Amino acid sequence: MNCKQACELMSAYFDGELDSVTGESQNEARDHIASCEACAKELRSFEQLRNLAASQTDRQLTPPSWESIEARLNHISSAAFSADTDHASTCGIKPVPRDLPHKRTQLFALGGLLTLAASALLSFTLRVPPQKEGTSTSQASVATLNLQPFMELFGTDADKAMATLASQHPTADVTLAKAEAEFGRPIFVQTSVSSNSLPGDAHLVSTKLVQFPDCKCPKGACTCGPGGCSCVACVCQRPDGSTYLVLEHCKSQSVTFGNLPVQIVKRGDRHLQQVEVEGTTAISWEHDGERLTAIGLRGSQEIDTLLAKN
Amino acid sequence: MAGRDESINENIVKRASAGERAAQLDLYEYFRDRIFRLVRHIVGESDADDVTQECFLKVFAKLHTFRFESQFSTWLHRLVVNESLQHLRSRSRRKEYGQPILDEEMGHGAGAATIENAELLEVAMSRIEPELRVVFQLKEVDELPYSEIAEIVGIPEGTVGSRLNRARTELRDQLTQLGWEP
Repeated sequence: MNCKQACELMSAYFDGELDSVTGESQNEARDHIASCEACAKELRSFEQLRNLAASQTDRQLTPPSWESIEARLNHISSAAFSADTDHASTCGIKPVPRDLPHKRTQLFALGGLLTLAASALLSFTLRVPPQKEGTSTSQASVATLNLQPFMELFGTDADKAMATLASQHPTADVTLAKAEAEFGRPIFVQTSVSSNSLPGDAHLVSTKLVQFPDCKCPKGACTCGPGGCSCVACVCQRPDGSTYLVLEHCKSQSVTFGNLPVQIVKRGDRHLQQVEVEGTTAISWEHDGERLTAIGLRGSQEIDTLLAKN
Repeated sequence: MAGRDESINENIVKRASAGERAAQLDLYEYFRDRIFRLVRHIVGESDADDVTQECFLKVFAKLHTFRFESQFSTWLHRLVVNESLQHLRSRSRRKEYGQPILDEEMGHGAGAATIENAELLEVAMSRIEPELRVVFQLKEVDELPYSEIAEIVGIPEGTVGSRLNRARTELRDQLTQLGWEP
């Protein structure tokens, strides 16, 4: 064996694969290397590389979190699901409204009439799976709320976005006190409103009760309304006229942001789904048995302020 | 490495394939570090997180195609390697990867003594071809036999040695330029 042959076989020899892979004898290579300083040096350099590579396994690794992958898996599942049900939607199948107490139904009906003119120029994707035979509407009604179109429109025309939201879901304008009475507990932004410390020096400009499609908590666990589920949407306006929205809804109402990239961000003890679109941020997180979603926030300072005050 | 995925049994793979989150989590936690390290060395640090996520999403989407005729880890590695190389090809990232960051700070040899050896290796790895990075990583970090490397990369078993020769000599040369003192 000469040097050229030995060099060609060097890795296989070094890795103990020579006999099995090439049919060349491990012994022949060993004999040559033992008598050749240049080849021995080459072999030593391989050994040094191996030691160097071993050192990298000691380095701290920060692979992506399972939560970030799971969020994307959930999104993919709901997107596939949406594709399955898009056809149903175009055939006129709509989410079935939840039974409401009579008074509340009137309230929503009034809001619905007022917003009827704001027909759905946009389509908020409402995903309703096919109902299983033999199941009741309330058992089978599971819908994921895709907030991507709303978020994108909200960034350019918040009023139009809210009008479209109202055209998609029963909505009623109420006072904060009324919302609180209907909701059955203090509204999330109540503390900030009372102390004039809403993020971005904003003030509350409207409060709405909104009926989302999948607000169906286990009996006794519902956090949004003593007489039936309803959600609260608070629109807050900054001094420059821009707005953001804080949605307070049932934890069982699943929310996605379509195909926008969602990051899972840990702030304090909260894990937030966070989405950025053209300078505005949306976050969604679980809080005290319910889900909160804020859309239109600017920067981490507003997020921190919102979380800190509530 | 024989028996490397002995705790990944057929049942877990089938449950994960059916979309069961707990089983998917088991697979993820079992392979996470290994795959992340491999991806990082192929695509570079900045894209490693995204590509690792993409790889696992693709793994879960394609699990139903795994026929249990080979080791699960081999199937998984093959998918990850292909996905990572495809990422590099589609974004023409090779020239960008790695070089602007440490190279400019380090020059060639200057100040190298203050750089951790592992960082030196990362820079050197970024300077060789992605296909060479892959075989080096699979051999030196994952400690796979040539037969499995060949299956993952899709080359004849006899070619693995020559590709490793190139990877090792080119890496050594790059490291030497960076001031590596073994």
